[in-house]
Amino acid sequence: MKRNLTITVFLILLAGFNSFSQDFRQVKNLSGSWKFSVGDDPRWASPDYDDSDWDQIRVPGKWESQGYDNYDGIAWYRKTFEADDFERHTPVYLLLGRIDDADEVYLNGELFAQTGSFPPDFEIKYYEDRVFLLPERILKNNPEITIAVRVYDYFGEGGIKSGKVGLYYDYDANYIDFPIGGKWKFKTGRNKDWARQKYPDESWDEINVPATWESQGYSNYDGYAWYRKSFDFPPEVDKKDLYLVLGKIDDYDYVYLNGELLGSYKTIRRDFDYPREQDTWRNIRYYTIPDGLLKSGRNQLAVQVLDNQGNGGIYAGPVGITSKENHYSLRRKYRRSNTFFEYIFEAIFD
Amino acid sequence: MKLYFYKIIIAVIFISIGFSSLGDTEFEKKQVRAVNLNGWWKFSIMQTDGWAERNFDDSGWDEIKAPDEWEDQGYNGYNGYGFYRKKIKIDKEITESQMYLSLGYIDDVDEVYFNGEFIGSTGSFPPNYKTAYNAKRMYYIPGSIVKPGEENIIAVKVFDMTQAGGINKGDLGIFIQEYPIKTDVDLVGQWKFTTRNSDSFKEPGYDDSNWDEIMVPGAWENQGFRNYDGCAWYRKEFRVDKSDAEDYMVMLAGLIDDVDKVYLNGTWIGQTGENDEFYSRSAGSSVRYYESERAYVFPSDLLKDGLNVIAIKVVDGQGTGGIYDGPVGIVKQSKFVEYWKRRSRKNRNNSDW
Repeated sequence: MKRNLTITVFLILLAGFNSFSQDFRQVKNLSGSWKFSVGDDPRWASPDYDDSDWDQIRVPGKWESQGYDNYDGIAWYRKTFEADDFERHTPVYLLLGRIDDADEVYLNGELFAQTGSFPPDFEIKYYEDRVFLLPERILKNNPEITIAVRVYDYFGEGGIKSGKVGLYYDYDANYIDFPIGGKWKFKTGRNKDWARQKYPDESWDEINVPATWESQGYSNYDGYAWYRKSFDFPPEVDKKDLYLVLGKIDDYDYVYLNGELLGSYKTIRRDFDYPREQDTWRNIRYYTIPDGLLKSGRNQLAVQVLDNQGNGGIYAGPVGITSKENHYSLRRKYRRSNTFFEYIFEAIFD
Repeated sequence: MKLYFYKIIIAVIFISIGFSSLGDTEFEKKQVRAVNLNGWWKFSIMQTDGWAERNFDDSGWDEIKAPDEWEDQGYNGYNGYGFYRKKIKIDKEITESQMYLSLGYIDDVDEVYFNGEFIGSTGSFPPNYKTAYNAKRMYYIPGSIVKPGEENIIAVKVFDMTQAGGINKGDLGIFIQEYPIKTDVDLVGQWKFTTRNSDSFKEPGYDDSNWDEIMVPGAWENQGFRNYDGCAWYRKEFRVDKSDAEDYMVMLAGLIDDVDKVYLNGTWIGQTGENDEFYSRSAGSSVRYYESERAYVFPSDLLKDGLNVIAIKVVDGQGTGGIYDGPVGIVKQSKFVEYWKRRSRKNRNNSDW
C-alpha cells in the first residue's frame, strides 16, 4: 500500500492536468444537492427505493466538510433527473469528477461502471476523473434516470470530491463524419487470427468505446486485448481520402481494417505530437485509410491493444471515420508545442 | 513584571480552554467518575469460604488504605495472599452506561469479583505464577450484576510474590464511559487475546480458552503488553436474538491502533488499512489509521441465533496498540444512519458561525 501511495503521487502529477482532455461541453448539470447516506445496502441502487428521509449533501464536495467529519467506509449518493434533450448531442458522457477512493455507479438499478475496488482487496483511485460513456439504450428508454453511486473511502477525505459533475458531450465529435463509438467486441489475450475480417467474435464480451477497460469489469488488467467492431458504411459517401480516428489508446495499438493492417502506434509516433514511446497513451490516433479498402456496407475493424500498467484500452474519444479536412482541423486543435520545461527535460534525458 | 505578564497569558489560555469545552457534548464521548474507591477497604490475609460473596460478614476484618502497599500498614514483610472488600452504592442511571472498575496498579496478581461474580483477573497465581505489577487494572462491570440503589460488594484477591504488595498505586473508582451511539449488542468487556498469529484464529470453532484476557476497549500497553508492537488477535463470544436484527447491521470496532481486519463467525466483514504495511516496525505507514472510527456494514445473515464469535486481527506499527477506544458493539444500520444524520447536522450548524 505504501508503495502504491508513492506511485499515486506521481500519477496525480501526470493525471492532474491531462487525464482525459476531451473537449467536454455541458448538456445537463448534475452538481448541487444529492441524497446521501452512510452505510451500505444493495437495495439503495434501485430507482424505486424511497430516499426521501435521506440527508442532502452538496456535490462535488468532500463529505468531511459537510458534517461527516472522520467518516470512513461506505456511503451512497443518489440523484434522479429527467432524460431530455440528449438526442442532439450523442454520444453523451456521464462525468462524476473525482471520487475518493473507489466507487460503483448504478444507473436505474443496474451496475454500470466501477472505478478502483472495494475491500478486502481494495484499490484506491481518488486521483482519477470519472468519465463514462452513457449507453444509448439507457437514454432512450427512460424518461427518468436514477444515478446511485456507492463510494468507499478507505481513510481521510471521502466522497464525490471535485471536478465536473453532469452530462456532457464531446465537442470533438463534430469533427467526425461517421462515428464508430459505443459497443465493441472485446477479448483479453493475443491471437493474430483475431485480426481476420470474418473471425467469429459473437461469444466475445461487449465493451464501451471510448472508456478504460478498468471501468468496465477489467480492473487491474494489464496486458494484451483485442477490440473488434463491424459497421455498415453508407454507399453514397465518396471513399477517397478518408481517415480513421481512434481516440486515445493506453498504451500501444495495431489497427486492422477488413483484415489489412492500417498502422500502429509506431506510425503515429514517427510523425506526431508526443514523440516519446512512453507518451503514446496521450496521442489521438489518426490512420490514413488506403483508397479501396473501405467498402460500402459491412466493414470490420480490429484493434490489438497492449497496456503496460494502470488504465488500459481505447479510453478517450473521438472515434470514427472522417474527411481529410476534418482530420486536419482536429489535429491542429490538439497539436502540441513543448513547454519550456519539457524542452529542458528532453535535452537532459533524450 | 515579565513573570506577571506570563501569568496573565497562561490564565487566558486556561480560560479559553474552559470556554471551548463548554459546548454541547452530545457527540463526544465522556468519562465520568461515578464512585470513588480511594480510601479504606476491609482487608484480610486469610481466605475464608464465601469471602467474595455479597452477604459475607467481614466485620471482623482489618481495615487498610488503598492505594498503598500493605507493608506500610502493619503487614511489613508479608508476601502471599491478601483479600480486599469494599461496600458501595450505585445509582440506577449509572448502570445504564458502560461501567469500568479502575483498581490502579496491583502487586502482583489479582482476581476481582463484583457481588460474588468474577469480572476479571490480571497476571497468574501460583503455581504458574506471573506478575502483572505494571499493568493498569480496568475491569468492565456488566450492568446485569449491579444492584442499583442497594449495597454492592467489590472483592479482590491479591497475591504478592516479593516486596511491596497490594493495591498500591493509581486512582481507584468506578468510571462510566458514555459513547454518543448506543449499541444494540454491547461488546465492551473482557475479550480473549493473543499476540500470536494464525489464519485459523478467525474460525468460530477455534479453541481460545488458553488465551489471555483483555479489556476492550483499552490499549494493550496498559494491560500487561507494554512495548508490544506487531500482530495480535482479539476474540469474543456473544449471544444474539435474531428476531431483533435488521437485514444490515453495523459492527462498531471503536478506534484501533493501527490497522485491523474483522471476522464474524469466520467471515470477513471489514477492515481498515492493509495488515501488511505494519509488519516491519520501521515501515509504519504515514496514514493515521488510529483516528478512523471503525464501522463495518454486514448482512445479518451472518449472525446466528444464539452464540456468535467475533475475531479481530490488529497490527500495530509502534507506540500504543490495540482496540484502545470505543464504542464497541453491533448496531442496527438504520440507527447508525440516523446517528450520522444528527451528528452531521450538528457539525454543519456549528460551522455556520
